[in-house]
Amino acid sequence: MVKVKFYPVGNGDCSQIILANQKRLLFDYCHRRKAEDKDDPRIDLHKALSDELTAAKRTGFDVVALTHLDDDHIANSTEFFFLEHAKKYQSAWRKRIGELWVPAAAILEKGLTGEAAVWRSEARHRLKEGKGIRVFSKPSKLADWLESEGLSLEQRRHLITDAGRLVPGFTCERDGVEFFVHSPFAKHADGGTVLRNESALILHATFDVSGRKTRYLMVGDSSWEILEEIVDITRARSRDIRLRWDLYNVPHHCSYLALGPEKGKDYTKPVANVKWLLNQCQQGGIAVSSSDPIPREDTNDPPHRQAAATYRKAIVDNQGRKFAVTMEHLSTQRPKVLEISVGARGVTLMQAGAVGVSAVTSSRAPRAGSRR
Amino acid sequence: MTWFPAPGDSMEPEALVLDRAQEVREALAWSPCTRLIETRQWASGDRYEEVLVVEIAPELPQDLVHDIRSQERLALGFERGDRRCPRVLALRIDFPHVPHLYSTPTGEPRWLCLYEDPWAEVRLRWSGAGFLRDIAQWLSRTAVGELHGADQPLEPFLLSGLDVVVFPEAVFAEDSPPRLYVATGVAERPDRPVTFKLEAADENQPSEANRMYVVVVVGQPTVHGAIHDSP
Repeated sequence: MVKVKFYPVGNGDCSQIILANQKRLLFDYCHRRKAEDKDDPRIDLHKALSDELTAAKRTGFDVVALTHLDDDHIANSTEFFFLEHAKKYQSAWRKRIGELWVPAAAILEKGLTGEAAVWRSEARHRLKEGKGIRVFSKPSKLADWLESEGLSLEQRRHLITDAGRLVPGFTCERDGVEFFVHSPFAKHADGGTVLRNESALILHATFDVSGRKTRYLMVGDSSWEILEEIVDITRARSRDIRLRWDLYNVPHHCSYLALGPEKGKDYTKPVANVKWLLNQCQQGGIAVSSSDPIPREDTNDPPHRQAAATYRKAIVDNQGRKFAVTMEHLSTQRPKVLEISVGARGVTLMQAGAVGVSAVTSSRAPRAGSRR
Repeated sequence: MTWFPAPGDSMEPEALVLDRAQEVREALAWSPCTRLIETRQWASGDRYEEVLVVEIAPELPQDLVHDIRSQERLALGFERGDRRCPRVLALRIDFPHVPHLYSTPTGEPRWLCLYEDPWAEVRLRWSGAGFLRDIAQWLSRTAVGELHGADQPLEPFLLSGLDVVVFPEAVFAEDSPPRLYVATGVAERPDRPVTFKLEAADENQPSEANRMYVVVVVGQPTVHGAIHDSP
């Protein structure tokens, strides 16, 4: 059984895929100090992930992917992970990273400060060392940077994966999953200014459990313009199946800007390609918004209630199962980790224990059927 | 979606008087995948029942064996005297006919059979929250066709008769000629189910006993379960 976990970190992102072979892939890490306060509804991510790894007798993750370097995707991450590039990040308790996945922009972006700069140093260090990293897209600027470091693109090509390719190292046969890269494109990091959201990592995972293919579209903080482009390119190459989804990571904490240019009064009208993308929801599919609870009133910042209405409609129209929100899962006061199991019958939103969790005196599940 | 009407007349949730109904009402207040829709009551002679109409969201994968929905509306009936397990009625008109339902008359809601153990045993470990969990599990496991344990006996076709008949093996032989059998009935305790053992008898021997006829019907394989609608 494969698990996909979404952690209730507020308006931020952190999710983890745990494969049947126990490989762990963590996508983004947003830990807010205030969440350590027991009255804060957000999860104490540092503690939760530490406890998980301890229980699994693991010292770290096989993969840590940083979709981009915005604060809500890396907050306090440099106080959690063991970083190879500097001694100060190498205490024994820090969590190891087998392979760091970053968009090329994370290496090339200039003027970074704080944790983003630390991660850029880590990514650059690993790329220079030639191990423990995968970089997505190879803009010409990357070749320039490698050259400035006395390296050639050829020497590091095996660590770089372009959009339209599968990520090396994971196969359905061996791991029960393959990852297809939708974005970033090289041009996203080749402009004068690196636009983080535009150059963020967007992947499509295909899980294979007992021959049942389950598809997960992992969209970071993307915009409708980027999604339009992805749909155009992917369909032009007759790869529609790479846009089909059973599980959808709703972009940008349920912002209307991932659907279309106008927020709308009660409903955000998606642009044509995004509407088509939403309709790739398979029967019983689940869309997950990693965000605060959906507000009842209008708000400037996401989540936007109008966007939520659009996702809910897409789920209903396509006989999907649910539009779920991380900070609403089972409780808004104390949301639980939103766990999706991926099995031979597709995705299931786990609710075990949600019904009648604490007052049960019977330890075994009852068997139906009267013995009379 | 269309629903069967829940039994009884509407009442305020705070007016529930039966302990088990109150316990479920309390559990519904904090159980996140459930919702109380209304409470009802009815009385007839000595009988009095309180009914909680609820929605429960079971855990469901994408590929289902039976048409169980993301939200199922159910009527939970609690009868005064606690002589039997609380009733669980599926109110959706087109709730599927699946294993582990009680036989109900045509035009009435499906009645879920939750427990293999007799109520006298179940009631010792029963709790309102556990009851809701058991219903959710019944729905989830039914949805994927995994409710019936591989080691469980097949469900009886008719539940109304509790007596058992033990046939001689020869009855089922293909070349078995028509025979008359006499039944010896044994009941371990008064008013308990009777076990009838059939033995071949002499056709010509006069007897005052009721005659029973054994009919062998060969049909197509089908999923076991109670008869769809009680005759």
